[in-house]
Amino acid sequence: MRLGESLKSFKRSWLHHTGMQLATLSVLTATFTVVAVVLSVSLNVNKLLASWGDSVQVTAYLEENVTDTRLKEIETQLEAMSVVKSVKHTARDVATENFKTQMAGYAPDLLTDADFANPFPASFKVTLKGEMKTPEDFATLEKVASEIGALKGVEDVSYGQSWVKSYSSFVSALATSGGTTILILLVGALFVVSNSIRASITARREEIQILELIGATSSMIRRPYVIEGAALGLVSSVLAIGISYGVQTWQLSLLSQNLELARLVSNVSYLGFAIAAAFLVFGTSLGAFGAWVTVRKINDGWSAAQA
Amino acid sequence: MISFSHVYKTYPGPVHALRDISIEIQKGEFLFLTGKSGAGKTTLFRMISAFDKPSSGQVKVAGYDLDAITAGEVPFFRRKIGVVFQDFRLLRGRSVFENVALPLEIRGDRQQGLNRRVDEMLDHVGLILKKSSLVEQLSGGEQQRVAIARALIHQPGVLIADEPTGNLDPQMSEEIMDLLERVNAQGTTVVVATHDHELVKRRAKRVVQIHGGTFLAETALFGGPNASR
Repeated sequence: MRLGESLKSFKRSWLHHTGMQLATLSVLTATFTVVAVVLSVSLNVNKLLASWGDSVQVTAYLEENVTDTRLKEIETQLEAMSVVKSVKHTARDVATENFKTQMAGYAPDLLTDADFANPFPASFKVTLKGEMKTPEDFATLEKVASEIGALKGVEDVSYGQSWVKSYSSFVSALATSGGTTILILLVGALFVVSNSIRASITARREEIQILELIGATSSMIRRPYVIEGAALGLVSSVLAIGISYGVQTWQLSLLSQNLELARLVSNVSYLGFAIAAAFLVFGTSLGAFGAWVTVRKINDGWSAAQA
Repeated sequence: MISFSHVYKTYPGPVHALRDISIEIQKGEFLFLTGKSGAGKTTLFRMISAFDKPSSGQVKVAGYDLDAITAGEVPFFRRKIGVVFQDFRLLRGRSVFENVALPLEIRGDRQQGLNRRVDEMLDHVGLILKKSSLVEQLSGGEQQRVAIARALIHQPGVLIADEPTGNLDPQMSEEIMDLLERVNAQGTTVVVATHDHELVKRRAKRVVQIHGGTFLAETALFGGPNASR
């Protein structure tokens, strides 16, 4: 039986079981919409976290009596480290000026206070290569910080230890919960497709027996149901993409009216073209797979005998 | 064309549906299989159409060893035979043309040749004017003629009909039997299961009687007794 006949069979199935098909389509669309929303939120949060991860720096505070020669040696040693992207030296007086500028809003007199004693040590700001996203990345950060702290002339090292640990836990929790949610929803979607196809097979049992009787092969009998599952998956994923895009755009337009959130909102994007296309392919494949799991049990050439 | 050799069929229970059945049906022959309900006619037909396998013994139809046939070979074997049932087994919601064309579509015939062949067959069974009608709009006799057309469209060597007149009035039954005889006259081996003795008496054909899963007697042509076992 050709593809055209399989498509005609799908059309007949749709017309005969419109209610059942609509119910399946609704549940699948709802499931895929939640998956698309979780995916979009995860991608955006990951993007945000990655940009925060990019800005992780290690600050090495130097001892007061470090000579210029030693200062150069420390800079050279830091630059020689394989994970170090850049090294920036901040002299004591520059640190003091930076502090005064930052505090000018709260204590304007500081800018002109000649008696202000300089409490700040000289330091190196060390930026690392790559993003800080995985527990391995954080382990590397801790190791590098420890190595920097062990350099002669370095008094202390700071890299926001407590913040980094919370950040690491949050990224892991987000990945785990997002992944688990999507997995549960997709398994549910598989059952929904499978049940719909099973109902379709039951309703068309006699037709299957007749097709067997006149010499249809297993693949000829199964193909219309797999196409039916694929079509359900494709239509549901297209609707899910449309609905989730619409909802996200609407929510962002509401949030952007709040000036404090406007900058954050401007960085939020929807699933890119490639991910949306992959989502459609995946939805279609999941529909086809759910149907195939069910139809592979029917027609082994003898099903009419078992009826 | 059809050969049963010491065939037994036992279903769980145990129910002995067939016991030591042996018969040869030659190419181009017309045979009536008679017997009461539950005698084993349908079991025999299920074997001939590869819907069931014997518990023991050998069944050969159209060159296939059905006791050893694989599931993958079954569809291709069924394209060599035609089967007609008492309840017609047509696809509802489809036209006469679509029902008759189905075996050719399954075989992968080209549309142009398929259309011509189906029209010829519908003309042969007297339904050309109803080719676009839905099958459920037809009378019982017409539906049975659609079923026969579907069973013959791919020119099978064997046509088996299980109680083909069971749901029809006497006049319609005679028309169907006439049609089956014409099919037989063109070289197709025809096996008809029926418990309508009057219908059988009016036809000069080989008759095999089955009872309790075993052959009782064989009658050749107009009633002359001819022991089978």
